[in-house]
Amino acid sequence: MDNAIEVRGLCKQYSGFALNDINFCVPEGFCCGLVGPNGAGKTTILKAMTGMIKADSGEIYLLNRPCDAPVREELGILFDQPYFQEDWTPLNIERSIKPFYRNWDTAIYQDLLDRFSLDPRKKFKKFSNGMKQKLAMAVHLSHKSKLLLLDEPTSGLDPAARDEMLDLMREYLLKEGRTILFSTHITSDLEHLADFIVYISHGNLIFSGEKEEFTDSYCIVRGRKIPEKKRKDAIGLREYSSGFECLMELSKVGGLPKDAVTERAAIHDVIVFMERRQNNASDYKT
Amino acid sequence: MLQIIKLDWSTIKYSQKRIFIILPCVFLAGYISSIYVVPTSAILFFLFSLNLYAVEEKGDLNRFYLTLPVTRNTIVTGRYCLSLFMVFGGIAAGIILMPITNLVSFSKWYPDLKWMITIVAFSLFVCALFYFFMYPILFKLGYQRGKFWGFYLPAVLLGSIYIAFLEYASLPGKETLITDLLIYASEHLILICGGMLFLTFALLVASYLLSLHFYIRREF
Repeated sequence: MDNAIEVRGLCKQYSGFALNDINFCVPEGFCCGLVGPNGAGKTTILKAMTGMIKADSGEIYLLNRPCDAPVREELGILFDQPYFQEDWTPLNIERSIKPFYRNWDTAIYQDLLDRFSLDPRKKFKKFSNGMKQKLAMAVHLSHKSKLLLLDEPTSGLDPAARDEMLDLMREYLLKEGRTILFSTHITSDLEHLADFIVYISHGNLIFSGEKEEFTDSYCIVRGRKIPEKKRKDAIGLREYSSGFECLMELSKVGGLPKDAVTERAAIHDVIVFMERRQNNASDYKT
Repeated sequence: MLQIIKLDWSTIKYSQKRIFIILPCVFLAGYISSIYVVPTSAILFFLFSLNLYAVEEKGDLNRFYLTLPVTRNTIVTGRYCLSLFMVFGGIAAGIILMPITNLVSFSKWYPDLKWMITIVAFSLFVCALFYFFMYPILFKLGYQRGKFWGFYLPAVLLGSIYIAFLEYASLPGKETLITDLLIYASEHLILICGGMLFLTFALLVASYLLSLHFYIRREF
């Protein structure tokens, strides 16, 4: 199976933030969630992929090609809001964008505008956030993009609009060979949609692989008192007067007291506990 | 290339009607003397082309372009081409308006081809100065961050020099200065006009290469 996305040794240094040696790949035909807290480096990675910033080092291949202008013909790129001019109508948008894409299909575009109830003569600035996202998706579907790079596509949308957006993404993936990489910090979106997860924290890659591998490797442990010898295995340990809770690798749960209970960790849990560990570590350092 | 030029043009859709403000201003300049018509028209059309930068940040135009299958090289080249088309359009409009303004102008002037060539070469040279001082800064910093150094400062400086020269030329005893210069230039057409056109070309190339250098490294 070919990789739709390959990122190798991506580094980018800013004052106060650095993206360190990011490596991951996403096979063709799958959906990958790029997850991490605010400021983790998700948008920086997407910007490097789209050529909006230049990486200090590393290589990025999209659809088996270097990520330069020609490959963008097969990409759909959407950052929190589509970058269309405020006064453009969907008709203006088509007129402006169509000449750049050899595979542009006007019939598909018109169908999608109808389906999403987007008035072709209404100005872009007058659409709601959800409608704007749908319009952007209509554009990307009309030029038959093979890879969607989406930066927080569901943030700022109400639950109904978010659900519609996720449906659209699901529908996009139905056709063979189409891939999505989307960044989010709404972990329920990942539960619904993602096959793969790339987890970034403070500019470092923490995990990259299949979603099940991410959640199945860990469990949440709760109990009255954590034994001293198990403290080093506890991730994001939190102790209360009544007991403790932490995340632990499944392979390390042996040796816990009998009153301790374990339960399956969701993506949200893994990320929350991991981040707590990172923050605890930086607290100790300071 | 043509696609990006068209796209640039469509992004300033709502500024396009300002062209109709330029023409009365040019006519007003011609009312004083029709010699001023072509340079004023060229400069105003050049300044009109700066609308491309003014809209780029409002609508995140740079990021929008970078989602399309176009290189940064093409974006810069397209912007220069469209802007030059506007300047040439301004010069053409000036040439058409000149005989009309001459009918009502304070200072009558009867165009001669050599004089016309000199005026066109001078207009292009002034615009090239603007290109050199404005475009690379605007490509490097964008309009919001770069408008002081890349727009107001060069516009005020070059505009002041231009107006000061016109004022000086209208002082008593200096009334024939512009005509004398035009006569000299038309007698030494290759040297003066050729020199101005060569400098124009050199400034434009330098401006373009600097803009390319800055824009390719710019991060969004």
